[in-house]
Amino acid sequence: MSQELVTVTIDGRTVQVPKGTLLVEAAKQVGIHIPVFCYHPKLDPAGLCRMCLVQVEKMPKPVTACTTPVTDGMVVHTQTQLVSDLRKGVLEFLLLNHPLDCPVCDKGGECDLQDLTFAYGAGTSRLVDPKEHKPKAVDLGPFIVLDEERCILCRRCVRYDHEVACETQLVVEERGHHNLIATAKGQPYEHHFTGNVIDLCPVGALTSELYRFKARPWDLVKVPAICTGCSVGCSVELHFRHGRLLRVIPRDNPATDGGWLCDRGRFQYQYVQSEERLTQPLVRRNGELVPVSWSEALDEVARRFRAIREQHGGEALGVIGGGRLTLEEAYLLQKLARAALGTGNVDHRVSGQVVAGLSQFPGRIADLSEADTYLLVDCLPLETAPVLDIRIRRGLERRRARLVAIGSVLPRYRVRHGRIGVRPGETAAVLRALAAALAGAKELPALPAGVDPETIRELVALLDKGQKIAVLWDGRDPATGRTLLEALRALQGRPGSRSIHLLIPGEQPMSRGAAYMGLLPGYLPGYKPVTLAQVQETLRRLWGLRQLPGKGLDTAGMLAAAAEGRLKGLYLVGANLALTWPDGDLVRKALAQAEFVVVQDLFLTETARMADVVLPAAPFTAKAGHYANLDGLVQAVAQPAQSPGGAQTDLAIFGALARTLGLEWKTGVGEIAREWQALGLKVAEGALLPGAPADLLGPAAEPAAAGTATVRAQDGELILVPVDRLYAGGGTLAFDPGMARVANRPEAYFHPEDLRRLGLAEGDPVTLSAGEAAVDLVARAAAEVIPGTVQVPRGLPQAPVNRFGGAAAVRVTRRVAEVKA
Amino acid sequence: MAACGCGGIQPDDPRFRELDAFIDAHRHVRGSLIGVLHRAQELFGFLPEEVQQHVAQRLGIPPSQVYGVVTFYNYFNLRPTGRYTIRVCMGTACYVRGADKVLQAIQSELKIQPGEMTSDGLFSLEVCRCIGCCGLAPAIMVGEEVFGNMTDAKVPEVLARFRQQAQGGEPEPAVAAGKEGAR
Repeated sequence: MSQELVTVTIDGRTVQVPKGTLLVEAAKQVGIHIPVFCYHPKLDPAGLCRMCLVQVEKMPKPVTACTTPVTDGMVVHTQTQLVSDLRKGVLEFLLLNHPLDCPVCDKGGECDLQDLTFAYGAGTSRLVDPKEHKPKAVDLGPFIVLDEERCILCRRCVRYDHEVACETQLVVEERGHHNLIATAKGQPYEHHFTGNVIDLCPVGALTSELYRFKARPWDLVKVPAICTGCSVGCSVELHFRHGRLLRVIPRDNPATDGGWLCDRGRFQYQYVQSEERLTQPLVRRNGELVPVSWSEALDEVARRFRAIREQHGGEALGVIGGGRLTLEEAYLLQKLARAALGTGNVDHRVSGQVVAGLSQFPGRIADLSEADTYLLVDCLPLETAPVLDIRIRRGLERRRARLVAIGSVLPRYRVRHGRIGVRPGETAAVLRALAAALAGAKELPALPAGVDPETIRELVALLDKGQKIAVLWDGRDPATGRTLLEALRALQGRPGSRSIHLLIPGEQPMSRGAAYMGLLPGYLPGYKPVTLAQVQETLRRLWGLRQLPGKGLDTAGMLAAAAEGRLKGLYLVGANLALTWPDGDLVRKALAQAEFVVVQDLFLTETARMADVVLPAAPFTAKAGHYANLDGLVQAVAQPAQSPGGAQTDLAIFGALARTLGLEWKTGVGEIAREWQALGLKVAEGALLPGAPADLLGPAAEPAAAGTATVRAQDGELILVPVDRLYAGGGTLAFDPGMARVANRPEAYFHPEDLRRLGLAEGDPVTLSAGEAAVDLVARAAAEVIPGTVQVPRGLPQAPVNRFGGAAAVRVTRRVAEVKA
Repeated sequence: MAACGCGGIQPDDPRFRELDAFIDAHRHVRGSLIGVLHRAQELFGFLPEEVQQHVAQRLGIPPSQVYGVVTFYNYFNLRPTGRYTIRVCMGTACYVRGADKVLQAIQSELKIQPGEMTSDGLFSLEVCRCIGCCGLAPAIMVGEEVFGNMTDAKVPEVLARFRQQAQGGEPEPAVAAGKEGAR
């Protein structure tokens, strides 16, 4: 849109707007509401419903305000008798075949058709013929129910599916008044963003399978919140009735979600009120976990931790907090570890991801909507931080941005893009060659087998063309991270100007905040190294300590130490390590060897089953405080709802544990904010937390030479690559009845060629095995899988891929149909 | 002709190869979908899901788009058609002159509804808009032939002729009462 302003008069009010502004938007600016159905500010204009007809002087006929850009000197009338008659007429047509089932319609009370009929419609209908009947309660997809009779054919859903989701699954079927909203015959409406059509629908045609017939909109208590499903931190509104969470809808936040939610964020909420939620603390007595009171459980925890500390020292204790904590909780947990338990063994990383945000090349989510070049490194944003992918897809399809993906997992986009597929552990070698090429080296370092040096040259040319380059990396392999930074620095140093924005969409939702709060070995809050004397002094004074523990162990170190019997006590908060940690065996060994394990979680997870004490935690709906998302944006939330039963928020539990340990800590949200202030940390709504220092990626060791993938496959073996899937695993998905319909089945994805070579077909039961470890899955073909590898989703409870301890060479055998007795 | 109602067309059906040749020749022409679907219907007689999927994949467009076009145009059939397609004109002129009674008679004679095919695969029945023979209203088409001034009483006679023709295998000269040449 140009900067040039034009003057337009609407109903006698004059306004200056940029040239190209649509009439309907210009009217909004002077407070004039032009009724619409098909128009939506986030979709292309269509001019379908005719509801927005207005009169423009010097134009012979009424025009649609939603498709007419204003011109200089335009004089518009929206309140004439003609306009009023037109609106009445349009509504009469829309209502001809519309069933008047408003009393049982989910949309009743928040329906545009209802509201506009009330405002502009006729009081009666002149229709005497029977209404046209169409299919009702059509299951369009796993979450969407469609009532074709209520549909007014505004096509918002179809246009969204084409323009925003870039899926083109929805279509208008048939012709004239037989028109139906449909998918191609026999295909379910299935992708990660289907739920948005419910919000877009101006009538009750598209409804949520989960929310259908559950409540009337005016009975709902609506509370703003932040989605804690992934690291994007979308702005949502939670709708409660009688204390039960019944619906989640987006609140448009241009910095994060842009008004769209993924289906997991929208539909995964029933776990909050699941019957399986823990409501009482459990303590192991004679080998069994039995319910006890809070004071009994906390006494036990305090007594045992104190005993271990007295006997073996603080370094025999370890604290691991998952990525679901608020900033306040993360801060309090590391304080509890360092000041109350006297251990430097603190970490938040539970999935093998190393960093969630770096201080170099900081990027914002909104940058993805402006970038002309995307570089994806080992990253599947669609599966880890889905809403980011909407911006990328739109960039590719509408702005013709370029994209290159490098890694052992490659994303799928329907527009042409570059792909460099390698085996696990080889990404760093590709990036090293890229860095050398960008730095102008004549001779490139050796490349992994199958990667042509010419490809690297092409990639350099492509990156050179970019003005705004968005880089996404999964944050797992430190060597990849180091070489990636090296390549980006080389790119920055090239002639010409460009901006580079690095984003690390990790698997854990709140990692970036937890790391900044010091839930990280060796770093105090604000990424201050523990060795810094000045910070030590401040903290000793603030926390009333004589001695601050030094740099402790990270998660891997703690698990290894526990398995060897050096670490005696573990405190795991929202960390289902048995399922999420890349090496499942190590976790099981560590939990078995440790003397005393406390698990704090919502459910009796795989990890909690092995604990000595289980503390029931409350879900995000019961929390107040601040969250930080993947680009460091701090967002505040008020406590939306009380938690049912005896579960407590993590913050309350940490506070109670501190008091049980005999400490006089004040642990309210306000008191913690004062401590942050004393430490010079700026944490408030809208603030941007800095990223982690690059030395978190470890010393700049030589990356593995090209061609030396971490694992080598023998004849007949494939290399296993654990991949992220939106509907696999997670601490809550398995306990959510609403998600069962989409939860990932235990499937292994093969390249079609590999599948054929192994003599397997789609749907065949297979066993992947390496040594002792074996996992049963079902074979699927997927073109994006790199030949020679087999992908298995991380965190599937039925088929935990972490049995193999990361990338491994596996043998694939077809399972003979099992006969169950 | 695929007689089985399920549209069970195998992926190795040789007609796909013929279709692919046509698609490949027109792949780069914008808006070639309708032409491709015409060819596909010529080959298969109708456009079952398998064929639509194949066309979408081969042209590199979403299946939903193919489905939208196929359902939009009356010409395209989603179900297999009989040897003779009976089209009953329901245009205004035919309608007021009693096309509904003619349709009723055909329905009860063949025991099928519009959009269906007789179990012997001989006839399929469709209702259409004006076929341009308003002067002969009510008119029907059987295959490529037009029959004007139809009444319900004439229906059995017309159908019998085509049954006979199918048995004899030879096309006969037009003898049926009320038969008029098309346009």
